Amino acid sequence: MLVLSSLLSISCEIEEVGTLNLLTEEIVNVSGERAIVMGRIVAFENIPVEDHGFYFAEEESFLEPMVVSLGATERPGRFVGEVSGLQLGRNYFVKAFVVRNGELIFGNVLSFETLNPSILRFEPLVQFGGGEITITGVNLADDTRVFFGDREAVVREVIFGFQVRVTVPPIATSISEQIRVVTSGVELLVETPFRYAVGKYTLLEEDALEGFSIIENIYFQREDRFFVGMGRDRSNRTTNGILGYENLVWEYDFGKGKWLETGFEARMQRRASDSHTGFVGGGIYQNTVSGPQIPNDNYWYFDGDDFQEIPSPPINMADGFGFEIQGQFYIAGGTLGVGSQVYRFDPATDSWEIRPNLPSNVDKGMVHFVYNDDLYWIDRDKNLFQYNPFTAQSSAISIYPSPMVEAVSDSGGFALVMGHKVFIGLYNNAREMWELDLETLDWGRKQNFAGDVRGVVAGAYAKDGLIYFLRSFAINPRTEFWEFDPEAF
Amino acid sequence: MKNYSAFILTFLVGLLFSTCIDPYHFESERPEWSLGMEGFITTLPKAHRIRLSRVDRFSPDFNGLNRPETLAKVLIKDDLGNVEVLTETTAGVYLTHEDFAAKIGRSYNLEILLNNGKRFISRPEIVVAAPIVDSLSYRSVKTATSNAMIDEVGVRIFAHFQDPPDERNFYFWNMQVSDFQMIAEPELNLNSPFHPTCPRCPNPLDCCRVCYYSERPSPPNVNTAEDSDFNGVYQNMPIAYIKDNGLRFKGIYKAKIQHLSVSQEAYRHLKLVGQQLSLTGTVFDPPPANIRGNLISLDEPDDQPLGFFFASDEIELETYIHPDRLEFLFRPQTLFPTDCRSYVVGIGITKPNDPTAIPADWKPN
Repeated sequence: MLVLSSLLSISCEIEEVGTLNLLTEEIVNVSGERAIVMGRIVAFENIPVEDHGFYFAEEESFLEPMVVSLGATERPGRFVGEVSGLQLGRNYFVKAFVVRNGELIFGNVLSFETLNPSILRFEPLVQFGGGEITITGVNLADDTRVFFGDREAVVREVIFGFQVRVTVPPIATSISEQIRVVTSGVELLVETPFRYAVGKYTLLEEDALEGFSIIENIYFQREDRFFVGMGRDRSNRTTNGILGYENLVWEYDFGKGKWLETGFEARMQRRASDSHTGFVGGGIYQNTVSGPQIPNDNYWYFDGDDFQEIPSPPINMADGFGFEIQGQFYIAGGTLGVGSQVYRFDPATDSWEIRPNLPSNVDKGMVHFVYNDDLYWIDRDKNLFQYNPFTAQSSAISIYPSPMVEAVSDSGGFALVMGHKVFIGLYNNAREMWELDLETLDWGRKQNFAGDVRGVVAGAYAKDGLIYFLRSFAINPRTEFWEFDPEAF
Repeated sequence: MKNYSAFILTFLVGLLFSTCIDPYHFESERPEWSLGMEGFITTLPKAHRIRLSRVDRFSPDFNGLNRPETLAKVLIKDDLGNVEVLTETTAGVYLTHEDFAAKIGRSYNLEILLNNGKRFISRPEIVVAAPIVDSLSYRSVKTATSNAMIDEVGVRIFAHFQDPPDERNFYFWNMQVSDFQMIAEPELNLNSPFHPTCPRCPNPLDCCRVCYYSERPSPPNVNTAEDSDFNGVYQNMPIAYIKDNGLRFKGIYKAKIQHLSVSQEAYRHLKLVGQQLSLTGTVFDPPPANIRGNLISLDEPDDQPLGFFFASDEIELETYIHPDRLEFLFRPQTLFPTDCRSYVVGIGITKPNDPTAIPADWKPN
């Protein structure tokens, strides 16, 4: 009987009702000015409370708390509070609270430290005035302001506290500006200076080559002397039925400001390979418009005084790359035969030798240049390749930023190396010009070409920090001669 | 005759009553909208994947549509404030950049802003280093089935590694899409049953006997472990099991496995998922469970999104399973009596353009 009554009393034990435990459970996420905190009401029944939420304060005494109120609730369980407007890089304390029957009950206290903002990068590094750049950082507040020098820029959007879209103010007196970012009262300086997309085009001659719209030609520069020639006229003008002008080479006379014919006569060559330094040759021979295209194996070297004939390579090549590395002339690719083969001419031995093939087919329509004894070229998928001709190692290192339209604007153009930068652009029927830093591989935009867009570059030269180029046009056939100052605005 | 009529009458009345079944009308409680999230990030740089969907009913009678949650903004934030914005590539599938990788020692939150304005954030997950796996081994295993005449045969893969002492470690081994040699018997090819002159007649083919395909290994077990019983002890741990279906291990099988360190909470979640996946319907099964994830709704605390976001240190493991090094195989092996190129790959697996070409990374030891 005693046992039974004991069992009865045990089974009738009632859990304590009406009490609750309150936990400040976890700091879920903290950023520069925002924190998300989780709390929990632990109870064994539904307990209505008039209010619940969190107290935030910089002192553990909570004398001046920021209160996040989540309102009344009846059910125990988890609740989440989010606070914004915190100060950057400060220590904060937080505790959950409930108001029950007018009584304020607090949970345990947790602490956290808000994060400091910083700037990681911005892109693009070069932009036009009125264009947009995106600054990426951490813990950027919604009140972020951006300054270019002393001028405040328009902030279009602060994205999730880590990116700021900014409209670049118009260029003032300098092509370079220091960017300052002010967020929640904290000023941050961006190490890399912002640069405006500048450049000035000046037309030097409207009809540089006597009405001749030259294409499929060669061009080269010897010190400060510019040469162009050995191409054909776009409209296939003939002289007594013979295609004219293919034999000519012009030189620019700075004194007279004119392109003048040299005495050199080539052998009806066009689509020849060209190192742009004085080695030229190959291509095809065609003396009438409808005549057969015969591979041409004449090669030349302009030594500063005269054109010297050099031996023919063991292959025919048209539209191939030409480049000079350590005084040796290379020809590669082309549209005849294997498009990746490489041959090298050594003036010391006066002979040609075969070299390892390039990793892919190339032709003269692809921009190519030499820097630090490596060959670089941009293929029609916009990949910039670097190739070491001695080890035959190659890799894709960057991507040309402007769009290319197949068979419209994916060929032509030029590349000119000046110091550790290379200027690339003016592809066929395109206006864009870019500057590539070959040490950092950062692309910088330059001003778009100011002339007619539907043209083809026929020559490109560099002198005294200026770029000179010839551009030929099909409409109103002519070849224009332009000067481009990459730093002027 | 009278007794006979009474019998018929009784039968008819009985029949009438037996058809008087009152249908019981009830309304099936349709689950409210809820978010489902699948995905995790690791320390290997790659496009990490987060999949968002709307959870739906799953039963033998009806599987929900499991519709993707599109046009959401998905962010991964670390404890320094760095943010990675994911890009939606296909409906409901969000990818990080190709070079994104979690870092050991950092903690990560997944933040989701749905198109309808709802916001979710995961509880923070810290990345802890995973111990290096010294080597992998495998052996064939037999398991009794309900059919006393046929045992299940499979291959169990073991990882050999030193569990770090003085710290609690939680492990997860995730089977990846794996490659295998498909061995066919083109010499046994028959004409089709609809052949105009000689249906099902022998028509041996010259090609092709060996192809290379990928598959998602089965069964899809969740392999986890925690070191409370072996802290600091060198381990020879079973980390994966691949069932022999008679076709898989006719040639060399290249098993790919992710060796992952996970948090205690992630381990508990994965273990529960594994338990639920391995239910067989016996009295020894654990009860069905509603597995809570670590996502929190910032707008409605009562929302219970499903899924657990975790961040892991990852080590890629792979081993080539040679059939001639297995003690036994499933018999009889499955014949594939035609050109191996006509093998149909599973859903979600890309069929190679030329299945006979050896994959570039195929280097069996």
